[in-house]
Amino acid sequence: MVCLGSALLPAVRAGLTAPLAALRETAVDTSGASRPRAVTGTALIALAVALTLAGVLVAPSVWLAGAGAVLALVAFVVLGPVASTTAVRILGGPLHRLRGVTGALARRNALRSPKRTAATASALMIGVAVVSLFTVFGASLKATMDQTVSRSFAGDVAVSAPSFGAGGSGLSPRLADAIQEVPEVNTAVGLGRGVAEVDGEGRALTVTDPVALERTFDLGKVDGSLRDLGTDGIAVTEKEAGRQHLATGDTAQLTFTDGRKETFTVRAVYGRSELAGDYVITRAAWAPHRTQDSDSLVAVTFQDGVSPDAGKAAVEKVADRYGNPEVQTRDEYAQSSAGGIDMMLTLVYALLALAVVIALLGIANTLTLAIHERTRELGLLRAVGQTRAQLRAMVRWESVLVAAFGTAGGLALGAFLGWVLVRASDGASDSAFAFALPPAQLAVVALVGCAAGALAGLRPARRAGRLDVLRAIATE
Amino acid sequence: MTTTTALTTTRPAARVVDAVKVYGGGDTAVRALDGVTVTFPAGRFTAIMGPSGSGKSTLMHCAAGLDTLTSGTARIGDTDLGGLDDRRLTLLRRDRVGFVFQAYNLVPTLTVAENITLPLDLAGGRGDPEWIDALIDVVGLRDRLHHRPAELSGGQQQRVAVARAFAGRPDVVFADEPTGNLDSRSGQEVLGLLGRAVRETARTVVMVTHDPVAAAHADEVVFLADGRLVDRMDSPTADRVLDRMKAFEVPS
Repeated sequence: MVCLGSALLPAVRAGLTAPLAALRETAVDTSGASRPRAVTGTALIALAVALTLAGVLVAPSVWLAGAGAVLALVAFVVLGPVASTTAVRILGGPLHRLRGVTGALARRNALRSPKRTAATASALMIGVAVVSLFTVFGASLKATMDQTVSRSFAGDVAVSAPSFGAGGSGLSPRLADAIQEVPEVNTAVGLGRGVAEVDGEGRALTVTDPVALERTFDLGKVDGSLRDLGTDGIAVTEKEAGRQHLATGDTAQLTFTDGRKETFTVRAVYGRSELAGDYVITRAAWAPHRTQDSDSLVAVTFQDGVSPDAGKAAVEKVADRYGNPEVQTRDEYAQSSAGGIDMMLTLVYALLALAVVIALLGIANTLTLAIHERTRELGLLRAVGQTRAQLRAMVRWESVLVAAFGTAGGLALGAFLGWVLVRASDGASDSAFAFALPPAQLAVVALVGCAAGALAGLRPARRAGRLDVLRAIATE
Repeated sequence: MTTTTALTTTRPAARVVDAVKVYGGGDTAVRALDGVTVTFPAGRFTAIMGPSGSGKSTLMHCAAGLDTLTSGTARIGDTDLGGLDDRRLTLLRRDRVGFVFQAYNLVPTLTVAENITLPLDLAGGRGDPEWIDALIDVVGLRDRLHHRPAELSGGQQQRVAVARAFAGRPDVVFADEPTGNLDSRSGQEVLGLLGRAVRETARTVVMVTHDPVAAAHADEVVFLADGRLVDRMDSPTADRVLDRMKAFEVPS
């Protein structure tokens, strides 16, 4: 069905071609760059951007933003033939000066059929768009982690179970106390995770010593006091408090996993959640409901005057006795929190490499066909003095230009979609997301895209180089 | 521009000696050229005539370095084409030979101006700007320089091809049925240009044709039949050429 469907349009178009037009040799096919197409494409782009911006900035909605993103993709495909002319002209601009007439010819050839150039490049464009989308999203996640750790983690080292982020399989609750005994350490606070239903929804609770927490984490502006939460007090972030219309002194009902309900009094409302979580209760309050007692993170602050290395070594010595969890400085902690992102990206890249290879096969096939169509012209060029090497370079450069167009479009689309995804995630989740464009990685993507174009052009170029001059001239 | 002198006419611009070209092998082998020896003197306009299948196009292709001989030698100036690899042959065609084909002479993506300087651009040089400027006036295309070939008539396209062929002041210009696709007026224009180039600027032209009227523009006609050189004629006229053609069509 898909095959049949995709063959339909070319078949109809072939049927519509006037017999005489088919006999004439057309050098430059401008059918793709029509005005209606330009107008439709521009309108689609405008609509896509409007939808996305509305979904991201005005009325945060993942659906609206998603619809906008999909529409942007469609608009790019529609605009492709119009854009390819301009883009190839610009991208190929330096070619003439760089490679002389070989470069100029390559550029003109890439401009010959805007529709074909766009169609050929679109597979690569989508591949590159997805790659750069993930690259941007990954970098943004890392930046978010970094920002979170540096903003709210005031400690010197973090001890966490060797796994992703602060989730972990758990640290012994006695570790925090043991580290507290080390003379170099000022404060060591363990953070455990609990779950309870608040206001009808399951929420993650941070189970800790609130007083020590305040010393190791920057909680922002605190209304009320974390000092005496006791067994029936809870501290909530401003955001959550605002959502549930809670203020200090109000009560909230928590339903624990063991089924028991308890009423807690809000004793403090604090500004920053990030690492500390949205709800904080004491160990004593959590103790009756716990199934397993463990910390996921121990945050440690050194005494004044203790060097980071000495402090870290001292903490490591103690940690050794408790299953040797990782002791990391702030930077290391932020980086390891992002470690999972790198792994996810590697996986995604591996899958996308396949998509890019397929896109390259498409470019190679189109070029091979084009060379076949231009047999006489290539024969003429060879007859009047184009060397094989020049002919091959001409074909390769055309391939690079087509790939460069696809790559540029993909980068723009990917960066935009990445921004949308980050903003939409920001709007949809409690924690603040940072947006980051990683220039080095995107430059690598651009380079790889263009290099892949050169690679795709190798075979067609070799084939063109083998062309027999006389037979090419004689071809009707 | 220099005028023709007696000295330059004695120097061969191109020459083939005992040229044999065999296509295919075994029982189906075809001897397109069967021991042809001919000299194309510098500063002269030579026409190669003969019935179809006589080997005239093959002779031109081999003399111009587009094809290689089975045996015998082909030279452009003092250069033996047999000793050149593909790259050197290509460079020789680019720098020392000009071409005008019957049709499809121009690169459709390049403008008229770019087509004219194509061999020079491929060489990475600028050639002689004054010479090219004069050429553009001679072929009468100054107002078409930035047009694409598709926007020109057939006659105009052939005139561009002629300008390109002479742009690099080659040792010899080979023209393969240059008027074959043109109406008679455009054909006359193109032939007139080739003749002027030879007589006014001492260029050398070798033209393959089957048209006696076209051949009459040449200084000399050589006749080919069955891969052999059968006759030559100085200062031809259309009638004499036509008579000669009829003459050897009867016995064969």
